[in-house]
Amino acid sequence: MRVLNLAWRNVFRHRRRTIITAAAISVGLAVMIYMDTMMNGLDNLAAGNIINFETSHLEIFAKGYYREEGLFPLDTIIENPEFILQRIAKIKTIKGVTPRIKFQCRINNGIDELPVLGIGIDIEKESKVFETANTVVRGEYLKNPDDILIGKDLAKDMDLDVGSFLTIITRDRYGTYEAYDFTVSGLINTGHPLLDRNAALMHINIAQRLLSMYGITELCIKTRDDNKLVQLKNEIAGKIGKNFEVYTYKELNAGIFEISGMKRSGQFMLALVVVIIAAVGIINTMLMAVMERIPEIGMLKAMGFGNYNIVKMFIYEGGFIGIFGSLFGCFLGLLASFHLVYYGLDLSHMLENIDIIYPIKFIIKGEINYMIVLGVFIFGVVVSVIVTLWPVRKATKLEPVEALRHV
Amino acid sequence: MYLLKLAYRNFFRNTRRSIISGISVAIAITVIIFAQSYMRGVIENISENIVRLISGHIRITTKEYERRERMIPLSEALDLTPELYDELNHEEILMVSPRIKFGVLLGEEELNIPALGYAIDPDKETHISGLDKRIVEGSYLDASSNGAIIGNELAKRLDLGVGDTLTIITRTAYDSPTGINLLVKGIFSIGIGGMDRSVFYIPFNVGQKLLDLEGRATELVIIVKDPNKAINIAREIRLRGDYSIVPFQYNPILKYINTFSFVYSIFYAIILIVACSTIANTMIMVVFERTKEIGMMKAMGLNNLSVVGLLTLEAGIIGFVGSSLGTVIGGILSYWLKYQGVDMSMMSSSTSADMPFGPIIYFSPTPMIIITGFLFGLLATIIVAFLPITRITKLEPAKALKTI
Repeated sequence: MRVLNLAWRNVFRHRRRTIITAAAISVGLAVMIYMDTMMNGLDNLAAGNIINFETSHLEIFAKGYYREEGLFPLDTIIENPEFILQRIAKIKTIKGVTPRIKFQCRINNGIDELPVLGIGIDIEKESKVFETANTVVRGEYLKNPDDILIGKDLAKDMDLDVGSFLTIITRDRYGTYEAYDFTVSGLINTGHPLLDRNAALMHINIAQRLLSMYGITELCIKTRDDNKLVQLKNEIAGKIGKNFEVYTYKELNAGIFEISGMKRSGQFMLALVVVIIAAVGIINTMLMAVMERIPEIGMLKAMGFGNYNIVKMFIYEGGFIGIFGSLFGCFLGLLASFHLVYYGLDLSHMLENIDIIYPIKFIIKGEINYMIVLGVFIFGVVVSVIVTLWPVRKATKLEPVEALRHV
Repeated sequence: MYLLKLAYRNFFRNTRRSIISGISVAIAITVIIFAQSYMRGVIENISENIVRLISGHIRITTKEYERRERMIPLSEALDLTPELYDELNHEEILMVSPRIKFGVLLGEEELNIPALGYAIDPDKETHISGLDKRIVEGSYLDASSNGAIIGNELAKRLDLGVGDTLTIITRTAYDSPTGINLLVKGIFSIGIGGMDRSVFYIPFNVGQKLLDLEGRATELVIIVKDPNKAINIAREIRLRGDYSIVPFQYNPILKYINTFSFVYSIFYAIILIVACSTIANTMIMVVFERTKEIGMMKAMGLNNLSVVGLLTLEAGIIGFVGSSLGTVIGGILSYWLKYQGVDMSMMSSSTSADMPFGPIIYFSPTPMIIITGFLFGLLATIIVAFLPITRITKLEPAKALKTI
């Protein structure tokens, strides 16, 4: 306690120096926290878009259907979804199940053609799993058999609007070319580039007719508890047997989450550099503290203060600087992060028409991970204490008599 | 001169402190030079791929084609008239190559895979895209025979090998259905996920016939002598008719990345500021512990300017040593990675064709990056040191001498 008191007073002997040293740590930690918030925001937005519009939490396919991202074969389909629905009906953690058919097709407005992803949906069950129905910004949701929903960006690119006619051209299950005329019933604006720019939604039975098939390509499952996704996946896999496969949305979008992980580590490295430079600053400050106090340390030693206590004193001192710096750093980082959480970073003008693979657009909103903030705080304090050890070594080697004579 | 000597000696009065202060500057400058060389490497990599595979140095299309480009409207192709070629007769222009881009759905029976076809002049393209060097199996296209080369990932998806038949069914420029069977002559791998997954090339005349585009092309790709002049040359080209003439520098991806690298400079500033805090601390200490000494110097007739000069020189020496060290380390690392390259195929395999990001990034340090890095380190130290130093001028010699 006595040593702690001493260290506390020492910290304020050179107030300015302490503040500058601590501020350097603060900047490093603030950058770390801000970046983490931004990456969380990006990941959440991406995951949210995928879960709410593209794959839901879990998808069931016929065995062998899923080979790689972006491939939509029609040879291995779920011929009898009722069988699966019965088997999984009793699982309580499932919030909703809806069938979908996904197929590659071309959309034709009479002048131009574009390849898009056709999605057949069951309008009654769809809303239990996906948010699509809530994102109609013009016109209305699917009603008549020949209704089709398209994204507002796709509509703009192809000069289409509510009430426009368009043709979907594709090849059915057997390779024969098929075409079907639709009327645009509504425009959706989901924030997911796939749906807004590259997809067309229609009634599932129309998609079946178009593709000359009775089954579906996938069953999409929404869970009540997404922390237990893997358990649910295994439970379902056990019930539906060997002819089907279950994938989580993370497995289905491994590429995106991989990129995100790499970006995360890259940015973390940059922030780490700042902390390292700040740590060098602490070494410098502590070295100065040791050097200028040589006579004082000699006196303390002469009065019976052991090496153990001397080291403890300096470590406390480094620790105080670390705590001040880390506290302020977390405060700064949180302040900047709150801005990101409540106002967000508007990237829409930067990304207009560029396909960046990451399934997001518009505004990035951050999400603060308080565990990371705590971790960063502890990291700041620990680094400060550890780097103090090196300059302090010198103080322990001092002979009391010589030290007292030191100018 | 004696001031410099004094400052030099002062540097070694507390060697360890000077070195540590120098080290934080050195780390900062190393990172700044390293990061800038990397960013430039990325930008060069993407620029090169855009020039090679997408637009050449300058790309000419009709205005309407550009507006509806996403739809690839064949009906808006341009006419390859002798007059057009005449108008493109510019001393800086090395080569003009026509291309036809068209979209198709490929696949056997149950599979529909959207793909992008390019009809190209095989001989000219060896000088532009260098595709002949990217063939991993089979051989490159030749103008005289019917054949196609396809991306390795696309080949895998379609389960096609060299010698198999690629069936292309699409619509002509006049919207009537058309099709052709082509022998797969070769399989290429560019290392850019989006291209290897979805692109195939056929000879130009085959494409013209297939799409009913005799005497026409969707775009003209131009290669010039000096890529840096592409913007000016594009401005100088005068064509009769509604054409859009775009130099590669105006590619939206490049613009986006340039904005992005600006964000990085904020980061460099933060690194530098943190590094400078160590210098500021050191100079505060120096001023503090030498108050007496400075009082004496003043009493002996050294004016304020000289005192400030002395301390600034001392900070300058720290900055110089740190900055030099950082420049050398950052420079060596960057030049090493310029020749070695960094394998980013993990990243590039998942990129789209819009963002042509090659598998290996070669760092691209320039003398400019290295010199500015060095000067930044030096200047920043001096500026930061200045604040504590100026306090010294207010000292009264008599009082200063009396301090402990």
